[in-house]
Amino acid sequence: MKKLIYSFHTKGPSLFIFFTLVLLLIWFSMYLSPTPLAAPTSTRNLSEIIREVERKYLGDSAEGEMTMQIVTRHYTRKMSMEYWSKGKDRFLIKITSPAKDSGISTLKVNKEIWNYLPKVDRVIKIPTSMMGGSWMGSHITNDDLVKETQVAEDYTFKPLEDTKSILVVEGIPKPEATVVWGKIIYKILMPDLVPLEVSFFDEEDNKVRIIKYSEVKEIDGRKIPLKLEVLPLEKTDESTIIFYRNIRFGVFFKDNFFSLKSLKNR
Amino acid sequence: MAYRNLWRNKRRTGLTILAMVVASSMLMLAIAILNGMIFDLIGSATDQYTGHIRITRAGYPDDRDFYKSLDHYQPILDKVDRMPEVIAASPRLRSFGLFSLGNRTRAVEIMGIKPELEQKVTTFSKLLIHGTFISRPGQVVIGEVLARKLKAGVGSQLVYLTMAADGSIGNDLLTVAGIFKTGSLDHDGSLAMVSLSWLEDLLVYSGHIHEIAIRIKKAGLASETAKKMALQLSKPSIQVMSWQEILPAMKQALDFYDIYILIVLFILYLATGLGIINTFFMITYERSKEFGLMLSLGMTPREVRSLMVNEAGIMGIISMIFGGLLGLGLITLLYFRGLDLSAWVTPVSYLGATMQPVLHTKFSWQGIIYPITFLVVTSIASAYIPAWRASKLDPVQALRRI
Repeated sequence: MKKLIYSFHTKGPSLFIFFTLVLLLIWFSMYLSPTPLAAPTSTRNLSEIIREVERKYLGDSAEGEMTMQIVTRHYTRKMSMEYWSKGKDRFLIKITSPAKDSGISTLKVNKEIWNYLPKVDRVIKIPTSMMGGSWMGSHITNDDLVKETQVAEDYTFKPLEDTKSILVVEGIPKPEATVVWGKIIYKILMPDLVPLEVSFFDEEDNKVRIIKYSEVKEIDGRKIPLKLEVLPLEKTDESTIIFYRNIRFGVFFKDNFFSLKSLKNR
Repeated sequence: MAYRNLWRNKRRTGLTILAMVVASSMLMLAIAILNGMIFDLIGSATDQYTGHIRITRAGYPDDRDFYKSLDHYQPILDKVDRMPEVIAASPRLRSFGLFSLGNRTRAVEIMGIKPELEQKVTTFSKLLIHGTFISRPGQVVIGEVLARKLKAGVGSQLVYLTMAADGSIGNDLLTVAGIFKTGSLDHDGSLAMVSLSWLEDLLVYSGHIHEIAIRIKKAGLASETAKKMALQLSKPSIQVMSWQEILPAMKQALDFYDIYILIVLFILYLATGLGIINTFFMITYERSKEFGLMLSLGMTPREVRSLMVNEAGIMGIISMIFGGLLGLGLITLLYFRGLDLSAWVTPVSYLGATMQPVLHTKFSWQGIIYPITFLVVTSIASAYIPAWRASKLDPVQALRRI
């Protein structure tokens, strides 16, 4: 007994720590992995998931830098930009290089897009007829900028595949919605809601574009893919690749930050 | 004797000749006006914008891909200019983009041109309602509808925003030099012209154009000339199109119009011919007593027949001369003055062509020679039937008639 007590006292600290650790781990694990215990994803609101996925880079307020590599049959370009965003409706991008385009800014407020052109010192509103046009010569359309945050509202979703780690969701436009795509399919990594691949279909159900996400990093508690590739399928030799850098969330902006005036001065 | 006979009853002969003169000159005028309408239609479809023949890179007309351009086009231009059929050739570079003025933005298509050449090919420079045509880089002419939508006037500064050939963002200011009105909503609402060199710089696309618009001497022979041109240029990478191919709907409309004109002309000729026949029948009837006398005095029926046919022939020739002169005069008058129907009709825009409500005549030799030949032939032929009847008269019966 004495031996036992001794042994407990001599070996005690290590055993105590061991048991404590085990207990802690069991206790922690209940909190660390809540998802398998939570309700299955199919019953969760898919619109909420898509909204969350689409707002991956934006959050409530964010800023960051991105480089865009555009490869087309006729030119290859690399552009650097800075961006700021607040909520789902406000977005400001400024080109920092190449020198020729430096200073050109795009402001998105609600559903409108404005471009500031420093060379002529004018602000131009992009008309609705040009929304399908290319944004800054890339494979991203103006419409993408506007509608990206609208998808959750304009489409109805149903799950195609729902495993513990992967969720595949199909989005069909609501009859009254004015949208470009006939169908969108999201492949999402669960439970972190990280998009892996989004496929866009036209009205005839042909797959026309894929966006692939990779290089997932954790920033301010969010898992974010830092690389985004836009691949138009009818032009297999073309692509637009975006790299995100220096992303920060929870940035404070003044009220008039996303205004035409600040578009000019920024 | 036939000639002397004619002047025995001056009033009768005069009336007959007058009827024939009026009928034939009206026929000529109608032909000339119909010709003029076709000519105007082809003209406004081609002169205003398309040109008679267009040279592009093969495939460009199908998808209008910006990068399907013609580079090293100067040798093509030289070759085309040397062809005797060609009046002028104008190189054009096209670009889609945005015009912005204040907070108004419109999508437009800009055409970079060499003003001195374009003016020889199309009539844009003559359709200006305000200001002048472009004369230096940095100037632009826009359509009247576009100007209204942008609230732009001569001297306004427009921002042009587009994507350059290297993917960069082309943007610059343009000063409105003039505003044109073609009557076609497509052109008036979304077309603009700037100098070629300015657009080349903006698009970073020096030495490239999308098309060469060509004006030739005979618009109707555009297909043939285009074929000849393609043979001379003999390059598979370029495509030569006549306006008939560029505007197939217009060609169909014109083919249909041709049939329509043929029907109208048939009716007109028929009416004219019947009028002349009627006159001669009346004459024979009136003169049956006279013929009876001649026959009983020993003239053979054959002589009576030839007498009447000769009379008709002489009247035909006289009316041919006067009718031809009157017709020519009317055609000339309407060629210069135009028949203004704008009080009743507004301009009709159709398939990219605009029909103005002012009718102009178009002279053609066929339009003169056919009616007057027809006149003489009809008058002689229509004299033949009554003449034959006259020669068959029983002299006793004829003399008895009061």
